[in-house]
Amino acid sequence: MPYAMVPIFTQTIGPAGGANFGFSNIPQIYDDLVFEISARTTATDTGNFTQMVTYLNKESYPASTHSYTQLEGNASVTYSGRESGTYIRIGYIPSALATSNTFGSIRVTIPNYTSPYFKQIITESVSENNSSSSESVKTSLISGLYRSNLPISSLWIDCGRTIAPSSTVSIYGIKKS
Amino acid sequence: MSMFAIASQTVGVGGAANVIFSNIPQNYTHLQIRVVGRGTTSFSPGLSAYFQINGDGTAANYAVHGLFGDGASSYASSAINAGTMSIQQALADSSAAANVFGTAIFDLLEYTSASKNKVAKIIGGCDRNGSGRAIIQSAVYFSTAPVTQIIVGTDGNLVEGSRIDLYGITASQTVGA
Repeated sequence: MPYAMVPIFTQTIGPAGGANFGFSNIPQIYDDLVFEISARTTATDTGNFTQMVTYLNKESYPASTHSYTQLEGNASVTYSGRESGTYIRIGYIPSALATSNTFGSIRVTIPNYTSPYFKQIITESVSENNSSSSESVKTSLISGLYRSNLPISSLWIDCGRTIAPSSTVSIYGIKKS
Repeated sequence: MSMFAIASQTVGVGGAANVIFSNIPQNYTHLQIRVVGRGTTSFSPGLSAYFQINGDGTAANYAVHGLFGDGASSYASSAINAGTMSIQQALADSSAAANVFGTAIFDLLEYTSASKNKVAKIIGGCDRNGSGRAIIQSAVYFSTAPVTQIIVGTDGNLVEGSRIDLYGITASQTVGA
């Protein structure tokens, strides 16, 4: 009985930090993609957390074919917003101002990534901090739309700042029955 | 996590009223259903994805609670005597632009337990580039019976291209203590 969730790629940021995670030649043999992200930034100018985004089919960058609806909460309030542009926000990761050695956790699911339809993605994101102040953490659930009929064969993930060493992205292929 | 594909149904030409998974194997620990869907009903906030358990449509046997973001505001909902498990407003309706589908991931832990009521976590959403929803919903089926059948539907019919996949997830027997 074959596994339905198959590891495809894993990238880990080295000791010097990194600008982004880039993936090319994503195999087209699965039905869904799932990314598991454990990351942190070295930024000190974004508060306790920094947004992380993805650009799908990076060869087409910049392409204003991305939009998203977000549901977020910090330590005290909830918020919902919507944006459209060249990327989809996938969540938030702790900055250098957050509790040390604490990495954010993000899961991105892209069902039907090879289909001829637009691609709807769903992301879950948590960042933690040993603090109860209202802007100490950010939790989010985001639905995103990539308005392209093209299959997804490549992507970038970055945060606009240096990604901390030991941050990782693992990509899995999900195969249906 | 060991994840195995159990069954999958893709809606063909003419659409379908629902997708039925019967005789669900009882040798896994948890179930996951992944939905990419669009319905024939017009309701611009989006359509629900319904999950009826064991053919039981008794209203009093279900309750659901949700947290929603619509791009402008966040809000919560609750419903008792719900008649089915569901995630509301996650699927695209007939007024959505062409090629837009919504998505939902339904996680049901310990579905074979004879001592626990069945509680599901459902995340999902549908961004429509100018409108949309991001939702996390909880749902309970007040029965300790093992789950052997799940019927998945929406408001109206599911359109061609909708796809619903059922996965089984096993757990390690290693205590690790």
